[in-house]
Formats: sequence, C-alpha cells, structure tokens
Amino acid sequence: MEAERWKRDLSAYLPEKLKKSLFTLDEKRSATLEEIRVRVHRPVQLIGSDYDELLWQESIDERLCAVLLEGLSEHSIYAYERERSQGYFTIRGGYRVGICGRMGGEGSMAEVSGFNIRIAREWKGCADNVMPHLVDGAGAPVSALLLSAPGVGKTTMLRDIARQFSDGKRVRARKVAIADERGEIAGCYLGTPLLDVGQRTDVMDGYPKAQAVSMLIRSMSPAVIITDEIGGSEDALALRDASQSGVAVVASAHAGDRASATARPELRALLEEGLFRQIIELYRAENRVYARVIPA
Amino acid sequence: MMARMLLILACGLLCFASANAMAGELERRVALLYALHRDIAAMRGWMAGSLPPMRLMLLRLREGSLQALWDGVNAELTRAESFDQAWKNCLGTLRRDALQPLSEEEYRLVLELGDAFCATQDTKAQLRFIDGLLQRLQLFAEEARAQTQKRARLYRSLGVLGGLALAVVIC
Repeated sequence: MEAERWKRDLSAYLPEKLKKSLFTLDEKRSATLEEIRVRVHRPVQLIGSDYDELLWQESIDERLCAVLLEGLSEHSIYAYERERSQGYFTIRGGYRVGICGRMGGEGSMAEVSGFNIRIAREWKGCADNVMPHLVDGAGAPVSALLLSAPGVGKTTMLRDIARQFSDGKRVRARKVAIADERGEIAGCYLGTPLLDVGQRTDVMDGYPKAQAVSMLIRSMSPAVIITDEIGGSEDALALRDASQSGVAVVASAHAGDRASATARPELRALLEEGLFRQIIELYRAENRVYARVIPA
Repeated sequence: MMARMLLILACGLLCFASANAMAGELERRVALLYALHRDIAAMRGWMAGSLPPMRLMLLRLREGSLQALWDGVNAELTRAESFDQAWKNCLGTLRRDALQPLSEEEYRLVLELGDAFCATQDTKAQLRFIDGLLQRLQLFAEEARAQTQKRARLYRSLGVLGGLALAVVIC
C-alpha cells in the first residue's frame, strides 16, 4: 500500500530502536507522514501534513547517529561523498536525507548530529488537471515551470507529469528524459528507476543538471525533459539549449509564486525570454495541495 | 616379505603425506593472504572509481576464491548495525575454518578492515586507512611466501628422508 511504502523502504536502513517506535505509527498518520527528523540528544520529530509531534520516549545518542548514518548509506558512505558535501544524499526509493553537523577537514562533515528524512511518495494522478495545460492545440508538449515553497510537492508533481507524458495518459505518449541530479524524481538505484516515471522515460541519475540535459538532448532525443530545482546560470543555459533544440522542458524552482520567481535573475531571464509557456503554482491550503496554472 | 614391503611403503607414504600437509598449510596461508590483499585492493579501487554500494561489492567479490568470507559478511549485514560489527562476527565464525591458516597477528590485521567503513570518516580517510592496511597485508604476504619457500622444501625433503629412514629400520 502506497501509504505504508515508506516503512518497507526504510526498514533496512533504520536501527532497531528507531524502527520500533516509528513503525507503530497509526495508519492515518503514516499515510500523511512527510518528514522524520532525528537530532542527537533530542526527541525524534515526526512531521505530517497535519501534525508535528515529538517522540519523547526516543532520543538518539552519538553512537546511534553514527549507526543511522551508516545504515542510511548502506555502509557505503564513500558512494555519497559528493552529495554529502552539499548536506544531503538520496537513498533508494527517492528519499532525500538531509544531514547537518560539524564541518571537518577539506569541507567534509566530521560529525553528523541531525537528519531530515523526507518521505518520498508517488501520487499517481496528481497531475491530471494540469496535463491539458502542458500541450498546445496540436497536442505537442509545451515548456512549463512549477513553483512552490519547499515541501509542497513539486517533485511528486514532476514525477506524475513525466509518467503521464511517457505513458500517454490524457496526452499523446512521448519520449521523456529526466535530468535527476538529486535522484528524487525517479528514485534510481544503481541507475534503475524504482519509482514509476513511465515506460518511455530515460533517466540521467546523479549528473549535474546542465550536463545531464546536454547529454540527454544529444543521446536520447526526448520530446520532453523533466528536471527539478533549477536556479543557477548553468541550469538556465542548459534549458535554453533544450528549448532551442525543440525539446519541451518541465522544470521546478523554489519560489512561492511568479512574483518571487522573477526576483531571481536566472528565472526572470528565462521567463522574459518566453522559454516557459505555463507557470504552475503549487500551494497548500487546509492540508491539501492545489495547483494554479497561469500563462507565463 | 611382502608384508614388510607394504609396511615400508605405508610408513614412507605416511611420512611424505604428513610433511606435504604441513607444507600445504603454509602454502594455504600464503594463498589466503594474497587473496585477501587482492580482494581488499579491488574494494579500494571500486570505492575510488565506480562507487558501487557495499552489497554490490560483496556480490562481485564472492565470485573469487573467498566466497565463504564475502557471503558471510553479506549475511551478517542483515543482522548487524554496522559493517564493523558484521565483519567481526563473520571473521569470528570463520576463524577455525577458512581463516584458520592465518597467524594471530595476521588475523588481527584483517579484523581492522571493519574500521575502514565507519560512516563518520570521509572517503579520503577511508581510502588512506585501507591503503595502510593493504601495505601491511602485502608485507605479511611476502614474508609468509619467503618462509614457505624455505620451509615447504625442507618439510618435503624431511618427509622423504623420514620415509627412507623408516624403511632402513624396518628392513
């Protein structure tokens, strides 16, 4: 069951002590759990769409923090070096684990004292109402920009958009390519997507966005490129390259709305150039997520 | 007469077999040390290159001559909280079996690999640790090989001489 998938996925990574208390969570809270936060010498915090509670009976010492880090990285912390230096890594199934701690030599993190495990969810059909706005009159895909604050559901939406374009749900099936720098969209493990991103989808996992987009255009001839959290000048250059090659781009960015997006120079430039046809603003109200589609 | 001949032959073969077994034990120790060095060096290479997760490394390694060791570690990882714990448990189990030829000092060195994958170390520190371990393992393997070359020949020669001496005595 999708609501409980996180228990199956995280079971192999969590220390027994933590597993016992987390897995007794009732079905309702389990289905809406969004983050598990672990901090050394403080209670475990569970954040859901409509709750935020502390498990006072569970607190984690330094040893258990080290065990948790080793478990989450499957005893392979060397494989997450690049991401860890940026303060996160993504584990099998698309769960992003944010970490914080003390900086050590050469920019590495010497001791980890806090974790934020973001629960990855597949929500098939969440893009149903948005899909008709992502094609033109002739049915060809158009470029769009998803905006929202962190944690609202941009990645979940992007995943469903990829799936729907790829499988031909509500629109004609297209070749889709995903530039999945952080591994959250497709939830790849050893290069194989573990989340449903569609039958006609190719994924470039772990590569910097700009490089991935460039490679995908040249090697995979996609009709649509999906990518998450654009922001820098290199990302903007890569998206222009895609657009000029006739590839539609559906990307997300951290910004509450169009006005906030235009405060960021690279996004403003892309919007002014008309690279995006549509803007999709995601927002949360009364514990539900809504999408507002406006012309760019 | 026939019985005496057979007795001489049996004693000779026994002497030779015993000496051969002792020489073989030394050779097994050398082979084990070099196999450990090869496999740990392979891990080091993957950690610096293609970055496969631990379980995939163990699956690859099990195709070599130390299948029991890597399968054992893989099995222990499903129960243990850390690689260090899994490694020590597995080595403890194999001490009287696949790892029996190792001396105590060599065994303690191999145990240290458990510390290499501590998650609070960065990759460079892990690689440096493994490099140090590989250097010491290489020294042990070379010493063992040199000793074996000297002693194996000696044991086999003594085995033949012992058999001949017994033959003379019995005659």
